Amino acid sequence: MVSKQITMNGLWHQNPALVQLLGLCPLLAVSNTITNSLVLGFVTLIVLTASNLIISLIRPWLDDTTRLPAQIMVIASFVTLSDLALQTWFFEIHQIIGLFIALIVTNCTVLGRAESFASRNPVLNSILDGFMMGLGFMLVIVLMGTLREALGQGTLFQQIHLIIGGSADDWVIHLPNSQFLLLVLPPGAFICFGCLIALKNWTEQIGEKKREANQKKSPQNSLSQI
Amino acid sequence: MSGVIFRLTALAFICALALGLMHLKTKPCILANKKAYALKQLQSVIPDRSVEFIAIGDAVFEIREEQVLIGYLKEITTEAGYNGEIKLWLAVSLDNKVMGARVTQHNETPGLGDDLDIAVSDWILSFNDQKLETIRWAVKKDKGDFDQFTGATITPRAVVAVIEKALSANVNKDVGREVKNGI
Repeated sequence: MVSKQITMNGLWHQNPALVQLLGLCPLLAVSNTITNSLVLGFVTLIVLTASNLIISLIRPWLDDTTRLPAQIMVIASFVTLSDLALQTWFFEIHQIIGLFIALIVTNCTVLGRAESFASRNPVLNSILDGFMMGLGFMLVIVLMGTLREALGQGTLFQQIHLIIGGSADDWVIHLPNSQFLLLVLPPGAFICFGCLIALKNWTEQIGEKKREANQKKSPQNSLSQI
Repeated sequence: MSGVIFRLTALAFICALALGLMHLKTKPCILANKKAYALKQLQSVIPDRSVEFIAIGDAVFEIREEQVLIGYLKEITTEAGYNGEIKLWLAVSLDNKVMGARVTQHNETPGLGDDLDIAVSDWILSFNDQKLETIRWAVKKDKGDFDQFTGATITPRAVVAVIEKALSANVNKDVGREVKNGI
């Protein structure tokens, strides 16, 4: 039950990007292609999960004065580790988005989950929370990357060969006649993100209205639920 | 209090240890990657020939094909771009002919000015095999022979100008003199 709640919170109800509006700097800056979004989203996911795990583990040894410095130290270490790993195995992609990998330290989602969840909850739940929050963030950034690349540049999977090998021609899909320059530029990121938030709120409103309508139709049912 | 300090120090020690180990483990690989990447960038300027690059100065290379000197590769920079600096590698043969040019760094507007990037368009290839006398070194709008981009004239103008400047300064002689003077 708890795990289901954590999952839904990370992916939907408390989605770090769409609801909490955290980590917007990388979300807006890196979401210009699917490849960049995938890598940044994945590294954020790893860092979130790993730091939640460690912070939940060391929770009993820390008090209020030392909790924050300890959390930041753990997070910064994991970010640096993944930065080095990326340079070792995916050097060219690191040349493109390396700056934003180091900046994951400052992604409020990571410290936010460490402070508000991992430092108060048992290890397994914390791992799940980190993973689901990371996944929620990754889904949003990849969705943004897909939209902006498809509509802005008229391609899909540009430079994906940098992460999965092969040559560029094997993967890149060219879409006919769709080059909407605005979406490639920074303002396009804001507009695209705004539309996603609106879409999310809209679906929630529809769901709520349906629930209300159901309750009106069958008052007995809702009573028995309470 | 001292217990708290001890715990934080211990944690910092563990973190430092992990980072140190990772650094030691990955360092050779990262260095090799850096070298390979730099070489790949150089080779992309002259993709069709198998050549060697020998560094003879800061961002200046001799281009040798089967040990024979055939030209020089040099990094040139212009500030005249629409959004600041544009950096490019320029390969020039001994008879002062462009062997190839590649933009390596620019901040031009995506979709308008970024046609100078080989990943976006073939424009930069129009410099290949040109000499100072074989073509009018200006964009068409300025009565030259180089295409400008739709909606962006400043960017190609800057690139044409900086390559012409490099050629007229005779890159090769410059390089030779620099090397003799030990600069």
